[in-house]
Formats: sequence, structure tokens, C-alpha cells
Amino acid sequence: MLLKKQIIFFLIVLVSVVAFSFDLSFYNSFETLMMGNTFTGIANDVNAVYYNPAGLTNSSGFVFDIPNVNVNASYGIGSSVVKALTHLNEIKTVLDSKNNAYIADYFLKNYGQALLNTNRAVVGTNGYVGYDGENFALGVSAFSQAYVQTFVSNDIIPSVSLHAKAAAYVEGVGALAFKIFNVKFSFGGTYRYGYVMPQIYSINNLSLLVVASSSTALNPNLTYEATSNIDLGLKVSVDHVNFGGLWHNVTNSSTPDLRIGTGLVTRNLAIGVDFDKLLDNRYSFFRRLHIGVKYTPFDFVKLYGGLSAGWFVGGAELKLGFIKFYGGTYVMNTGFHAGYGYQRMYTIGFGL
Amino acid sequence: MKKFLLIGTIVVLAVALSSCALNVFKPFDKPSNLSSLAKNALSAANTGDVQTSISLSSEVITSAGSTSASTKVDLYSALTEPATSSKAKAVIEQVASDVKNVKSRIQNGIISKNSTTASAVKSAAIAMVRSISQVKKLSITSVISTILGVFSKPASSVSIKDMSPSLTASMASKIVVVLLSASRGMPTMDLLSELSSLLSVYGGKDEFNWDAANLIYDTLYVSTAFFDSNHDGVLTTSDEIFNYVWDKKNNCFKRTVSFEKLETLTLGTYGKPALAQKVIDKMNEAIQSAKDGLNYLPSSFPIDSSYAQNILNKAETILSKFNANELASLKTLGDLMKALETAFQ
Repeated sequence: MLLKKQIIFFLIVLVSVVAFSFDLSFYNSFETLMMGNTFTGIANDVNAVYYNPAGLTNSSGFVFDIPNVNVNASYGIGSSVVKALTHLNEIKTVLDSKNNAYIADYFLKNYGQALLNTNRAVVGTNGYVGYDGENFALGVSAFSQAYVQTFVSNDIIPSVSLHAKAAAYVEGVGALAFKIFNVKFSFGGTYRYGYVMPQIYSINNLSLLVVASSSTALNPNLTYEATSNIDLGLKVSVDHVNFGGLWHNVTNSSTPDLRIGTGLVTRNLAIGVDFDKLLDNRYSFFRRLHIGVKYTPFDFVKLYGGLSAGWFVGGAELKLGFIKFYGGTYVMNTGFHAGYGYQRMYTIGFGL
Repeated sequence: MKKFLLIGTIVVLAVALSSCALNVFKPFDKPSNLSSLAKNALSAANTGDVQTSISLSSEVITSAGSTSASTKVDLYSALTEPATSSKAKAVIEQVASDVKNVKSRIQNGIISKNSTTASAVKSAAIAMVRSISQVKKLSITSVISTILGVFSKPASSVSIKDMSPSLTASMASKIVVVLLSASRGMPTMDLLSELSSLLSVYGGKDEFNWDAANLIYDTLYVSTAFFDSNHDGVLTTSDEIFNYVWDKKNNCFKRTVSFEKLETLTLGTYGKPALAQKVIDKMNEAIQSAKDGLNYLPSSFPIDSSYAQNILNKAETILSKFNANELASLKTLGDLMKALETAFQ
């Protein structure tokens, strides 16, 4: 029990936040993130499950895409984790002292600088099995995400915050399409059911002095709740040019979460432009704008690039046999204006 | 093939540019209203974008606190210029005065504490404190470590009583070194002190932190005033005290400092009654902040609050025995120590 408390305490100091609504029910795969959060118009592979289910009518045939694992972290968390992994014995000794003040002092000195300000990490995994035909598509997808946001203040009395949540979903997805002359109309929908742990941690601005002098248990809250929702998608294609729209979380009573996009797709190249948060007038035009490019020079290499709310993003994917590896960088936008409120994230992952 | 090479180059370029903190739309997409400015200022401070944070937060503070038609101040440049610049000093003092005005407007009810403006001011003030600390590389870790060090003593029941007998000359000189290494000039400390004082007006669960912060900023202001022998408003190695505490050869603080030698140090307040009055005011504010802080002391704190209250009352009594002229007449640190000893009896 004591070790559990110590590990939680370690997490508090190591991974410490300001609440920000990260949408656990929307899965961002490596590909879409590296394309600047752009895929609603392009929507021509399994990522369409999340960005526009209408795009599953893409003639891929039987698709078996499991599993993909994504690890995304800001520099502060990434470097701290690497440092902690190389100092495990030292950390164990510190934790064994069972002295909260000493532990707080140790982590403040050794990790405080790297974790200063806001840091974030997301770990996600997804998979999809289905038949994506020319005129209809039917499939099952599953994904899970864990999100942690930390904040160590550089106020004169340092404080720490920690927010963490996680969710796992199963989705049934279907799409229908028909053609009039050379214009293809596709409609798709997703039913999502899952469990959410909304507040594993929800600690705001806890003074480090209070943490250090407190023996109160800082146990995680593992309460979970069932949730379900529906996404609807529409896609119109004329030759290589596509237009798409997604209504995410249809049964929500708040402002509809709408996004639209357009995409140009050829054999080696996909270029797209998306606008998200369409009906939420708190967001500026440039904050909503996302532009992305995917280029496949060889079958085993894919290059990604884009502009997400004004930030450059990009990455590469390498396929070696059955396994693909990828790495890149993107920006998590948290503000209502381009360039205000953001976190640069670095991501690595693999998939089959 | 040429087309693919071009696209490939664009993608690679995008990846390369990704590592830069460059946003191509930011210049065209500035938030407009006070509330939005403040939210973005805080968000920028929390992600380390200090220039944006200071620019937006000073706009909010100036707008809410300026008594005349608001003129745009470039606080970021003032903070990054040499601290001896009179122009930079004037800008920092102007913002500090605006902060003071906002505080008095909130206290007098001219700005309601629950209003959108007050909420924007609070976010802007927090953003400004955080950003200034980063710009000025104000690392108070050593002060906090000293406090945590007291808590982490093997004895489980540590109280402030245990600390008093061990306040030796070596510990006092250690404190002097800590204060010197953390001080960044009187205008900056004054501004930070005004900001934390404004924030403590809002109350709530953070009040203890802001009172404690105010206490530390005021203390740093006082130490700067005492040790600023060349009267340029900042502590640099050209000030006399560094002759005793600075290892010029290795460019760092000496490991041990002779407290006896420090006693001959000329005080920055000597012959400066106006500065001496400001020091007395700041010390009174520091004592008041410490008293306020004790009211919000977390129950888990291993400090005997009634004993601490007694010490603060005693300090207040001692301070009341000094006036600005008397303080300005004390030439050396030794003279000050003797005067304090006499006042204590």
C-alpha cells in the first residue's frame, strides 16, 4: 500500500496540469496527425472510420488492420521518462526513504526543470476488421486511448497539477455508395460503445509544499462509466477530387461537432484541406484550418507533412515486411486562435 | 518524376520546419477581447511562450489598470534589456503602478471580483508572474529546497521552534547567498510583489501560495535595496557585497562566507531616506503577507502557527521602532545588526 502511495506520489511530481478537453472518443491515428489532422475529404483508408465513415466505400476489399500502437509525448515528458528509466535504482532508493518532503525535493531538483509548464502524453491503440467494397462497407473497429496532462508551475512556490483519463471503445461501422454519371455519393455511420474513466486524476495547482508535508493518500480514481454515440459521414467524389463532412457525436446536446474537408487523391499522392469545429464560433478561421499531404515514393515508405492551425507537422512511415514503424511530430492545439495555446508533440509507433 | 521530387521536398521541408516554433498564421490571428487576451496569455505562459504571454498579459493589465488613456507598453523588451536601463526601469515601474491600480479598484469594488474583467486580470497576473520568472531566470528552487530540507529532517515532528537555535552565522550567510542569487533588481521584484499581492486579493485555495510568494518577493526587494551599494537598482558583481561572497577566480559563490567581514559592508540604504522608507514599507508588507499566509496554512504543515504568529508580532514591533531617517543613518550591516539587537531587547 505504501509503495502504491509512493508511486502515485512519484507520478504527481514527475507527471504533473490544467484541464483541457481532450476528446477520447475521437481517434487520431499517426497518419492523420502527421497530415495536420486532415482526412475528412481524403477519407480513402481505415482512418475513414474516425474522420469520415462514408469514405470506407473505397474498394479495398477485405481489410484486416490490427493492431496499431501510438505513443505521443511532449518533449518534457519524453525526456523525463528516458531519464527516469536510466535512474531506476536511484529513484527506488529515494522512494524507499518514505519521506514525502525528501521525495518532492528530489524530483523537483531532478525533473522539475524538464517538466516545467504544461506537458502532455497520449497513448493509443486501434484496429479495424471489415469489408470495404465499391458500393458498401461493413466493419468493426476498436480503439483505446489514455491521456495525461501535467503542469509544474514556475511560480515562486511551485505547484503541480495532474489530469489523466482513459477510454476504450468498440465501433460498428457501415457505409453505402451510389454513382450518378461520374459523381459518387457515399454515406456512412458509426455506432460507438465504450467505457470511460473520466478522472483518473484531477488535481489542480497543488502546492508542492502541501504535497511534501502531506501524508494523504493520492489514490487514482478508477471509476468508469459506459458511453455510446454515433458519427455520421458524407462524401462526394468526382474522379480524384473528394468532398467530405463528418458530424461527430451526433447525440450530444451541445454545439454539433462538425468538420468538412476536401481532398485530391492519386496513386502516390493525397492532398487535403479540413476545417474542424465548424459551428463553434469561439474558434478563429485559421485555428480551424488544417492542410495535409501524404506522399508514397515507394511501397515501403510514406512521407507526411502538413499545416495544422498554422503549425508545421510531419513524419515518415517505414514498412519492413509485415511491420510498419513510424515517427514524427505534430501540434496539439488547445486555444481558439492559431499559435495561441499549443503543445508540440513527438510520436513513435508501430503496426501490422 | 520532377513533380514527385518537388512534393517529396515539400514534405521533407515540412518535417524540418516542424521542429521550429513557427506558426504561419499567428500574426493574422490575434485574440481581441480582454477575456480572450487573458486566456491566451495564461495558455502561452503555461507552454513557455513567454514573449506572447507577457505581451498579452501586459495589454490586459494596462487596459484594466491604467488611469490615463492606455498606451501600449513593451514589457518584454524592458525585462530583457539590461536592468540598469532607465527606460526599462520606467516601463516596469509603469506596469507595477497599473497592477497596484487594478488591485485598489478591485478592493474598492469599482471592479467586481466576479466580473469578466476581474477574471481576465487574474489570469493575466498569473501569466505575468510565471513569464517574468522565466524571462529573468528567477530560480527559487534553492529557497524551496531549503524549506523542503527542513521538512525532510529525520525527526518526524519538525516545528519552527527547532529551527531557531540553529540559526548560526554560517546559516545566515547561506541565506544571504540564496537571496543574492535569486534577486533580479528592485523594479522587477516590486512588480512581482504587486502581482502576487493582487492575486492574494482573489482568495481561494491558492491564497497561501500568493501570500508566501509576496513574502519572498518583498524579502528579495529588501535584500536588493540593502546590498545595492552602487545604487543602480540591481545586484551585480560590481556591488560591494560580492567582494565578500563571490569567488572571482571560479566565477561562482564562495563555499564559505565570513560573517564578520560582512559586518563592514556599507548598506545601500545609507544616506537614502526615500529608499529606506520603501524598505520599511516592503518589510511591513512581507510581515503582513506572512501573517495572512498563516491564516491559510494547510493543516498538514509541520509549523506551529501560534509560535510563528508570535515571531511575526515581535518582528512588527521591532520594525515599528525604526523610521526612514534612522534606517538611512545606519552605515554598515554591522550597525543594522546592532540596531536590531537593541530594538529586540
